[in-house]
Amino acid sequence: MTEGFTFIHNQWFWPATLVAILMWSVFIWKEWSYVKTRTFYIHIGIAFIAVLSILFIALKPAMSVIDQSAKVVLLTPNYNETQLDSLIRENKGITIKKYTDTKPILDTIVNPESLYVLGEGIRPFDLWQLKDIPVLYLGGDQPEGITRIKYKTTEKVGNLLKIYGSYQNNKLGHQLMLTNPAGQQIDSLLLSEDDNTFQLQALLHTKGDFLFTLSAKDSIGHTITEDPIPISVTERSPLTIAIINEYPTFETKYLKNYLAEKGHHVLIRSQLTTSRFKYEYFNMEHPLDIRFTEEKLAHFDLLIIDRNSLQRLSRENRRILEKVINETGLGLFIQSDADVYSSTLPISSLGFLQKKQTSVILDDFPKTTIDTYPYTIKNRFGVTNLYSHQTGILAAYQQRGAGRVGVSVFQNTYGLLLNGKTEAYQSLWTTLITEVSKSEYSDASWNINHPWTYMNEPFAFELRTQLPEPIVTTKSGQRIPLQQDIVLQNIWKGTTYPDTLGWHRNHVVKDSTHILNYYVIDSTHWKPLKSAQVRMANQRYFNNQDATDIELKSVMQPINRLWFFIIFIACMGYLWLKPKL
Amino acid sequence: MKTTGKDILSQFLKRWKGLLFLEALVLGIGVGIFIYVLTTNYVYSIIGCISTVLGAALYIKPWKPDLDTTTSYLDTHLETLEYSTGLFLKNQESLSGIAQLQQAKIEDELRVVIKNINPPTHILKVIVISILLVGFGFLGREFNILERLQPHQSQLPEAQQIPFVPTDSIEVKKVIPSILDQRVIMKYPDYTKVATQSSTVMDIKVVEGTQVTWMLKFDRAIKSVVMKSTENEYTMTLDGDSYTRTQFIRNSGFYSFKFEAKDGTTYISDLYAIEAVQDSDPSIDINGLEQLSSFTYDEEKLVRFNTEIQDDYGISKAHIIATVSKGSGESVKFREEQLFFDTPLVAGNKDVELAKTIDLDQLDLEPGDELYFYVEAIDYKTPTPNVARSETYFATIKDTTSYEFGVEGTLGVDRLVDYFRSQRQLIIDTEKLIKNRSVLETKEFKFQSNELGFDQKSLRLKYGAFMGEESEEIAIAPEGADIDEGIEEDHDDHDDHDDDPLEEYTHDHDGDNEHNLVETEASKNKNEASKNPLQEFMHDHGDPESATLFEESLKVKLLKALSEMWDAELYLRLYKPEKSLPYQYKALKYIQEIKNSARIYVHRIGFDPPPIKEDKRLTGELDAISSYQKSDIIADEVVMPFIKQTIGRLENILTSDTEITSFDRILFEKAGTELAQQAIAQPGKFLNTLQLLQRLIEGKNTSRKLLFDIHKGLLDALPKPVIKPYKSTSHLDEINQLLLKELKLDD
Repeated sequence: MTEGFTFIHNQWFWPATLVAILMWSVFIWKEWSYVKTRTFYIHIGIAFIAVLSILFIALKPAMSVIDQSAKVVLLTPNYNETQLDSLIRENKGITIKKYTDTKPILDTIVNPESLYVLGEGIRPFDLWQLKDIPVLYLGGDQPEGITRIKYKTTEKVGNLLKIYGSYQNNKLGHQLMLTNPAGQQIDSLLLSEDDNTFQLQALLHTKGDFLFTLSAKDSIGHTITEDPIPISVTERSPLTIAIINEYPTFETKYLKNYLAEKGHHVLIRSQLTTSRFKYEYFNMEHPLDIRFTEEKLAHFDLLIIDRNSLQRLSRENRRILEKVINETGLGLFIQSDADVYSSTLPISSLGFLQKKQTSVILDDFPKTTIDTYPYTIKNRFGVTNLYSHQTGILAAYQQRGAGRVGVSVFQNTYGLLLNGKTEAYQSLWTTLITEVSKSEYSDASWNINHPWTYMNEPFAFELRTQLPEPIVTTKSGQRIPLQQDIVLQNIWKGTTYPDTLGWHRNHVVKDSTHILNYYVIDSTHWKPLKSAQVRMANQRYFNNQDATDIELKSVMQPINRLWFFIIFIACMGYLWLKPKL
Repeated sequence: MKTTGKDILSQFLKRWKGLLFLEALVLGIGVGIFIYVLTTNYVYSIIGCISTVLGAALYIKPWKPDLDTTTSYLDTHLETLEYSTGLFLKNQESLSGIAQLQQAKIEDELRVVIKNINPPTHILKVIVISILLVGFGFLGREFNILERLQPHQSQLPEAQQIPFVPTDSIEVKKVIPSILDQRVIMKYPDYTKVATQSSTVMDIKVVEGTQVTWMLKFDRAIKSVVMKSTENEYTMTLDGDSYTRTQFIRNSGFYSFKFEAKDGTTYISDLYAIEAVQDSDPSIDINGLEQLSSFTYDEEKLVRFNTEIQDDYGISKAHIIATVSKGSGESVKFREEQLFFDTPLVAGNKDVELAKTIDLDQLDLEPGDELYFYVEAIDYKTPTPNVARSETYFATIKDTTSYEFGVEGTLGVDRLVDYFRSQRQLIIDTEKLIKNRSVLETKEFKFQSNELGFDQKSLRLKYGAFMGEESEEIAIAPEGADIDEGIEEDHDDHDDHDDDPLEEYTHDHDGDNEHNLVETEASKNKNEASKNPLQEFMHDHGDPESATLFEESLKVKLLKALSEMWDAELYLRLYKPEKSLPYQYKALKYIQEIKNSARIYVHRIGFDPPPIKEDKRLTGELDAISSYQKSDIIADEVVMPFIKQTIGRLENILTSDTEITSFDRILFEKAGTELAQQAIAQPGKFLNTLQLLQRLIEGKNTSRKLLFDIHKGLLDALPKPVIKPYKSTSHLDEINQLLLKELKLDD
C-alpha cells in the first residue's frame, strides 16, 4: 500500500474487490439498454461510486494523520521544570508520564510516536522497554553529592583503605567525613570549590566484613548524606622466603630477624666454606630444602640472593631458576652490593646508571636519611618503579613471566633500625618484599562496580575463572544462572536480586574460598551516585539519537465509514429515483 | 459618738494582742521558708511553720494582756497620765467627784498620747530574725549544709549506687531488691599511718596490703550474695543485716557482685576496678657532690654532701655504706663501714634532707686509697621493706709518689737528667714567662728567657742524636761539659768578656761552643773521618745525610723539627719568647707526628696467629668442618586474637542482624580476659567497655547500642597493626598469561 493510505481489513482486499466488480457488472448489465447514451455512462459511473463505497465500508480504509497525543514526556527524578514548561509550550497536547522503576513505562500508550526523557533518566534495567521507540534524552539537574567513588573492596589487614571519588555541586564549607564501624571519625576533608575530587583513608586494624561510613556535612555540621562503605578485610598470609648468601652480612641478619619475627617462613643458607653451608630455618615446622630443582624452588615465594651466589649458579641451575620464576611466579630479589651495579643483572635486563647520590630522603619517610650506592636503576620498558627520587629509580622490579626480579640501590638499611627508625625500615622492606614476592593466584576473581546494591534490584557481577562450568549460589543456596562470554571464555556473567538488607555472599560451588561479599542497602543511600550512573547509562544508550532525528511520524487513522454509507445511499437514491422522474 | 477612755484602752489592747499574734506568725513563716529553702519539701516546711507558730504563741501568750495590764503598762510608760488610767475601768457612778474630774482630764490626755506609744512587742526583732533565717537558709542550700550535716545518711547518691540487672532480661518486670547501703572500708597497712577510710564509691585505689571490707545492705531479704573477681567467686557472709567480705589487696583487678533473690532470680552488678598501688621505693638525691672527688695528700680531705630522701609513706632508716679500698693490684684490701648522717633522721618523715661530712682522715685513708660510698634508705613497708640505694660516689687521695712505668724502669735509677725538658714543657714555661713578663724584673725575665733557650738547645741536641749528630751530643754529655769547662778556663784570659753587655744577664752554659768553633776534638775527628779512604765504601750511620735510622719522611720531619728548634732557641736567646713560641709549636707538631708514625709500626706487629701444623697446611681437606643447621620458631604472637575476632563478629551481628550464640559468648569472655589486662593498665579507658562486655556475656541485653559501644571500645583497645610484608592476591588467567608472554617477547 502507498504511504499515508491503507485498509485496515487489507486481507479481504481481493475477495472484496472481486465481489465489487461483480456487483458493478450487474449494474452495467442492468443499464445495458441505455448503452451508447449519456445516461448509461452517468449511471454506471454512479454505480461505480456506490460499489466503491460498499467496498470501502467492508475494507475500512485508514489515512495517516499526525497525532499529537502520541508524543510523550517521561519525567524521571531530578528533571528540570523549565525544560518541561518549554516542551509543553512547543507541543500542545503532549502526554506527560512519571517514571517509576517498578511499573512498565508505556503501559497505556501502545505506540508512542516519540518520547522525551527529562531528568536523570531510566534505570539501566528498564532501558530495554524503550528499545524501538525514538527517544530524546534531555537530562536534568545534577544533585549535590558524591557522583564517583573508587576503592579496593577487599584489603589486607594493616593496609590503608583509600577512597577516591568526586563530589559534585559542593557548596562552601561542606565537608566529607569517614567514620569507622564503631562510629569514630577517622578522616575528614573540607571540600574545595575548584576541585571536586577527594581522597580519604583509614587504617584497617583487623579482619572481617566492615561497614565504614562516608558522610557529607554542611558548614554547621548538619549531616546531608550518610552512605555506607562496605569492605572485606582479610588476614595477611605469610611468605615463604629463602635467602642465599655467600657470606653472612648484617643486612641479611637484620632482615632475617625482622621477617622471622613477623611470622614469615624464612630459610637462610650462607656459605661457610667450599660446599659447607650454614642453614637457618625460622618458623618452619618441616624445614624445606633449598635445592635448585623446579619442585623445590616452587615452594618458595621469594628468593633473596646476593650477586655472587647468583653468578656462581651452574648454567643448569640458572635455567631452572629462570623457568620457575617465569612459570610459578617466584620472586627474585638481588641483594645490594657495590659489584651488583657494574653490569646488567643476570636473569633480568635491569641495568644501572652511575650517579653521585650516596644517601636520599624519601617522601615516604621524611626526616629519615637512607644510604644508597651511587647508582640508579635504568628506566626501561617493563621496569616497575617501587621507590624513586629526583636522581632516578632507587628500587624497582621487572616482570619475568609470572614472576618478578627486583633490586634496590639502598645500602646498609639495617642502619635505620640501629638509629631507631624502625618504622621506615619496616615500610621499606614491606614494599620491596610484598611487590616482588609471588602472588597468591586464585582460580576465580570477581568483578563488580561497587560492593553494594539496592534491595530487590538486579546486582550484576562478572566471574573470571578457569573452572570449566562454574556454579554460583547465593547466601540462601539459590543457584544464579551464568552466561559465558563469547570471546573470552573464562568470563561468566550473572545477575542476582537480593531480597534482604545487609551482607550477602555469593559462593562458587565446591570452592569455599571464592566468595563475593556485597552489601545490600536501601534506596536512601548513594542517591547522587546512583543518579550519576543512571545518567551515564542513559546517555550511552540514547546517544545516537538527537532532536533532529525524530520525525513527526503520522499514524494510520481509520476513515469514518459513515461517509461511505452516505455516498452509497445518495448513489442508490439517484439510481432508484432517476427512472421514476 | 465620742470614744470613751475605756474604748481607747480596748483598742490599744486589741492592737497589742494582734501584734503578739503577728510576732508568732512572722516567726513561723520565717522558719517555714527556712525549712523549705533547705529541704525543698512543702510538708516539712508547713509542719515547721505551724509548730513554730504554736510554740511561739505558747511562749509569747498573746492572749494574756488584758485591760489591767494595759492600764498598768500605760501608767508606767506615760507620766502624763498620772497613774490614773485605772479610773476608766471603774464604774462612773462609784467614782468620786475628783476622780471623775481626773478621769475627764486624763481621757483628753489619753486621746492625744495614745498615738505616741506602741504596745510592748518584739515584732521588729522577730521580722529581722525571720529575714536572717531565710538568708541562712539560702546560704545553707548554697553550701549543701544538709548533706554535710548528715554524711552517713544511708541515702546514696544515685550515680554511686550499685546498679543490679537481672541476668535474664525477661525478669526485668519484677521489683529488683535495691541497695540500702553500700560501703567499702579500707584499712591501710599500719605503717602507712593512713586512717581507715570508708567510701560508697566501689572503684577503689589502695596501697598494696590494704585490708578492704565490702558491706552491702539490701532493702529486703535475699538468698545469697557473691563477689566475683576475675577468676574466683567468693560468697559474702551475712553479718547482722548486711553482707560483708574482707580481703587483703595484693594485685589490681576487677570485681562485681551477684546476688540471688528469694525467688531464685539472679542479678549482676557492674564491674568495678581495684587498683593496687605499689608502695614505691624511697627516692634518693645526692646534691653538691661530684661523682668523683679527689684530694691531694696535704689538703683538707672532707667530702660534704646533702641527701634528699623521699618516700610515699615515710622513711624508717637511712645510712651511708662506705667501702675503703687500700693498696693496688693483687694486694688490694676492702673494708666496709656503715656511716650515719650528721643530721639525725626523724623516722617516719616522708621527705627528709640529711647532711653528711665524711673526713677521709678519720677513715684512715692514705694516698692512693679510694673510698666508695652510697646512701641506702629503707621504708616501713611490711613484710619486706623497700630498700633504695643511690648511685655510688668515689673519693680518692692522689698518690703523687707513684712512678709512671717507663723504658728506664728496668735500670732502677732515674736516668733522666734534670736539665732535659720536653718540648711541651718548654712551651708551657715559655707561655708562663710571657704571662709573668709584667711582674718580673727585666733582668730576671731575660735570665729566664736565656735559660729556656738553653733547654731548647739541649732538647735539639737530644733529638739531633737520633740524626747521628754525634758531634753535638758530646756537648751535652757530662764529660763534654767537663771538657768545655776546661777549655773555657783556658780561654778565659784571651777573651774580652767585659765588653759583653749581656754577661750579667746570662748564665753561660754554651758560650763554650762559640769559643770551640775553631777546634774541638770531635771536629778534629770528623775532619779525620772525612779523609777516611773507606768512606765511600761504608754505610755511615753517623752521617745525617745517609742515616737510615728512620725512613726518608721521618728523617725529613726530624730535620724540620730540629730547624724549628733552632729558630725557637734563637728567639729565646734574643729575649723574645713570644716570637719563639710559633717555632716551638711547630717543633712539637713534628715530634708528635714522628711519635705517632712509630706507633703505627707497633700496631702492625700486634697480631700473632696461632701456629698451624705443617702437615695440615694447604691440604684443602674439610672433613672436620660440617654444615650447620639451626631451626627456630620466633614469630611474634598475634596480639589480642580474641578481641580481633570479637570485633569481626560484632560487626557481623550489627550489620546482618544475626543472633548471639553460645559460641559467641565464649568468644566474648575470652576477649573480656584480654581486655581486662589492658584495663588494669588503663582503667579509665577500658573499664567501661569491660563492664559493657560483662553485661553482654552475663545478661541477655543485646541492644544495638550496647553492641555498638562494645565494638567502639574494643576497636580503641587494638594497637596499630604491625608493618610487615604479605602475600598479595591476584588472578592469573589466559589473557594475563598471554600478555606476560608478549611482554617477554619484547625483551
